[in-house]
Amino acid sequence: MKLNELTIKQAHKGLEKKDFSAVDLINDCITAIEEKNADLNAYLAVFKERAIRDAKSVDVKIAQKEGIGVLEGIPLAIKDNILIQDTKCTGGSKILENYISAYDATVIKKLREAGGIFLGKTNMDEFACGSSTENSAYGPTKNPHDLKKVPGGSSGGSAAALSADMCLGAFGSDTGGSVRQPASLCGNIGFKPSYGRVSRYGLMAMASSFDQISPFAKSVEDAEILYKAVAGKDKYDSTTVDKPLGLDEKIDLKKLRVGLPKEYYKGLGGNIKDKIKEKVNILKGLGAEIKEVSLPHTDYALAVYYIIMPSELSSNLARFDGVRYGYSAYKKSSVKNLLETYMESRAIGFGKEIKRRIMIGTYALSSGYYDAYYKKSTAVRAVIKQDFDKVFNEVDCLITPTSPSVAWNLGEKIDDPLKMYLSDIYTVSANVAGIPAISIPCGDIDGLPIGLQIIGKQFDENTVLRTAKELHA
Amino acid sequence: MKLNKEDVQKIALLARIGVKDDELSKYGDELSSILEYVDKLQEVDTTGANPNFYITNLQNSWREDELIGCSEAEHELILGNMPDKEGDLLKTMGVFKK
Repeated sequence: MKLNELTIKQAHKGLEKKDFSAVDLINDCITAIEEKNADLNAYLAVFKERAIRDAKSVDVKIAQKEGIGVLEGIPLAIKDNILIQDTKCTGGSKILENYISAYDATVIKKLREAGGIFLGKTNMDEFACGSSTENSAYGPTKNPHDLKKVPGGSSGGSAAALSADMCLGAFGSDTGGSVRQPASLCGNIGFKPSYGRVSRYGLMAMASSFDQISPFAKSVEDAEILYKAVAGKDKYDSTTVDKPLGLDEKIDLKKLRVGLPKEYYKGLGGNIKDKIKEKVNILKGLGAEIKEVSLPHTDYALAVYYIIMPSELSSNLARFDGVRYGYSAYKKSSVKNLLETYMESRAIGFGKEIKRRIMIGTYALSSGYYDAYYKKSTAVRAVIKQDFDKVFNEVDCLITPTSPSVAWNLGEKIDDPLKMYLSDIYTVSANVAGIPAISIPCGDIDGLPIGLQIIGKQFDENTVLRTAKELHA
Repeated sequence: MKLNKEDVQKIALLARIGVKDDELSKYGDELSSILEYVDKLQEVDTTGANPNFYITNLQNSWREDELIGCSEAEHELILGNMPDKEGDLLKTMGVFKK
């Protein structure tokens, strides 16, 4: 087995026992990147020298018989909307083609302190807007299971890098499913914690009330390791919560109540349904109670999302004005005043999907339409939250599909924004309600992975992770 | 709600995005189909539901208003990202006409 194929836990044991060095581990990942990245386009930037230098210092530590933490020397991939000081950060956008991060995001600072090694930055839909990574200004990422298929999105680069063993763990951001859905399509694990668990400081803001930095991993145990390393209250993000993670409490599977929300299964393809049932039966066999439940406003979650998200996005992306940083058209001879600087810089710097979403958001927030669109959707958001509150009186977690389909062909949905949006239908609710959810592999259809999603109560990551461990051995 | 070319032009100006004349009708169609989809929200009875802007019900989070400053390295990186500058000052188009 090559070292890059190991889980974080396995690699950590190997490093401790001196079966191999941290430099060996990094080198195997770099070899995989050099062999595969030209085809996959998962990484936008690779920090080869820096990573080897960092690995050498971990090896010195091990040679001096110092104990090492579980993430020390572990090669990680980071989505290109999370800032690493003094490296380029594009957000998948042309408008930030030459942007250099001035500081480290809080998650980067924490991972650095834990000894994690950053291999590089991964491809993504522009400003995380998309479900296939085809909206990147730097070309699409391909699915490692089939190069003709999309990897999902928006964190498709991180998902593909992990599936192709080009890193041992990865981070993305999940605003409407942008970690769980690509994890599902690429066959790995994506874990979105409750809103407020992980600091968003240094993450490029997309929709601030939904965004949550989330790990990709090869095992549930690894996902938990990565989550624990970055979670917690941060003085630089006032929306983070100061609550114990509560991950030590064992759960009794014989008392576990699992809900299958009927709205998530109607219209779902038979193959996916059957594979999920097989997994549900495992829990049943272990003594869990399985019952059908209802989340009556499920159909409206996507509509709520596609109003609130673009509204917040249009406001967040107002900072790209061609004045302080990023692409600026102000030196063009055709640009004559400040208004034209704004209009032209944004016309050239942003891609089509970003422009569409900014315009939808601007419209939903504009005078005369605010009540009908933005305000109405915040009220429906409250109703959806109530649905979940009610259902979690009856059950401890929910099991659903992650994505309505397996990976589709590149180009298949790119000209139909609404069709693309519908691929988020099973993932957005967890963001709308701010609750934790994980996607784990659940078999395949003709070699293309299926994902199963477990959704939990707000701040009850423990039940989600422990249930996932039972289903992903 | 069907958006015509004039509607798109107005929204694009509000959003400060330059849109060419030949793109107006395509954006109009795309935005209209999205609006048609989200219009289903009007079916939901939200009487008595308080708008939810943030899901965690956090109270205001206060801190001292103090100057933290930044390191020399951060300072240089921030200046380096400016499209144009004079010394340490950002340079751009004037807001007011002479």
